[in-house]
Amino acid sequence: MIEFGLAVMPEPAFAAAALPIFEEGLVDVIEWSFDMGWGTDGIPSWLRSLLDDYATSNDLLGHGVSFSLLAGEPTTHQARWLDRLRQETQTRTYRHISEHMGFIGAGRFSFAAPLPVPFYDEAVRIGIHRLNQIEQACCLDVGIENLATSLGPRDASNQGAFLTALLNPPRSHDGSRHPDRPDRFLVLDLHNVWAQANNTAFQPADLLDSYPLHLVREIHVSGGSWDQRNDRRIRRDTHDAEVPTEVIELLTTLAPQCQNLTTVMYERLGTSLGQSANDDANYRTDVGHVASIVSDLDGGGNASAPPDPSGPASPTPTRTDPATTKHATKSGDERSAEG
Amino acid sequence: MSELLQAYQAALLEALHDETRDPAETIVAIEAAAEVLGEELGPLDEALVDVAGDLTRQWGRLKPRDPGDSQAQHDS
Repeated sequence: MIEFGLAVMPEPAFAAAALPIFEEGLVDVIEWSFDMGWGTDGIPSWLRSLLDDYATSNDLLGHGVSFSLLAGEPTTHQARWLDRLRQETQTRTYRHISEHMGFIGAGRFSFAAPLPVPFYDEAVRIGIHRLNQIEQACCLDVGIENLATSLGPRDASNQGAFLTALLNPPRSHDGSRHPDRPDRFLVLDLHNVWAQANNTAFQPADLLDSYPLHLVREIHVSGGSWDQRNDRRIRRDTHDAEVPTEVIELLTTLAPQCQNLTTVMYERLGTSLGQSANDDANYRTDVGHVASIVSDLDGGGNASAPPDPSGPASPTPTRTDPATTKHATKSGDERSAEG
Repeated sequence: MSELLQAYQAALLEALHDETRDPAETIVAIEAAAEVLGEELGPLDEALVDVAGDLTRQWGRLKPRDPGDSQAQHDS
């Protein structure tokens, strides 16, 4: 069975829009970006109750946004982040923890939208070390989400191999779990892949050929927006709209290829809801549409199947023309979504 | 850890953050920054660099100016 999940947000507009979805019993698991709740504002009581409820049944997935996995040098922010993660996972039960590719700060900058890092040995070594740190802090399986942002085509064409090198599955030859280390997994964000393909004139399938699909445990879907730059339309991962048809098509195509897929997660920023009467209704309709697709996925993913140790098929994509419910009836900071 | 990667990342953020440069000039600055790594970035895309610059200016936050300054300076 593949579970359907919803990313939860602290804004009251999200609570108002999403409550009927929870009441319908559509939401098997929830995703919480726990480090968004570490600010001085804390989290609202309704969200705390929701997190605790899903945590009780081990249906809470943690998704960090501000660790800066591939920062060149360790920072005091990272040390504090790891301490807070340790406290967070001791306070509330998470099924697993994930973070994003890229880095978010250096020099004078403490935070920025996540940016890509060149794929080379030192960056891989740093990333593996940071994954180990997260793992040691939370004592849970740790995963990475692919990045949407690119500065050029190489960031897109290298990402699958980069992710494979970072996740470097600690499995024995027969696919069994290593006795001393938790699994590493890939959070495959399909809108990120689609955006990056559009912006670099690859086909999504060409990029995905180099991704370690056998390590995909979660698939993320979301919407975004277009940004016009002269004669180019640049796709941005703004999480402020319905999921595009192209991403739905990728979901139905890819899910059966991901043997270890357990969850499809729907993401939408709370700040994009409640601005008009149609916003919330359209959001609920779209969530229901994706949930129905997930329920129809017929066994391409199988959480109970043994892991497939086989690797990716093709390391280098070819570029094309550059012109071109067990949880029925639940009560129900600003964030840069671009990752 | 890598001081060279840190230096590249700091220079990349500075280049993207600088709105006085056009995208072509920003690319020159990024490529110069990458020389410390000894790694090829491959061709950079002016439109993507331009969008990344907007993102950096929109979301970028600077570190506190001194240890007593608890509120990071938001630069946008």
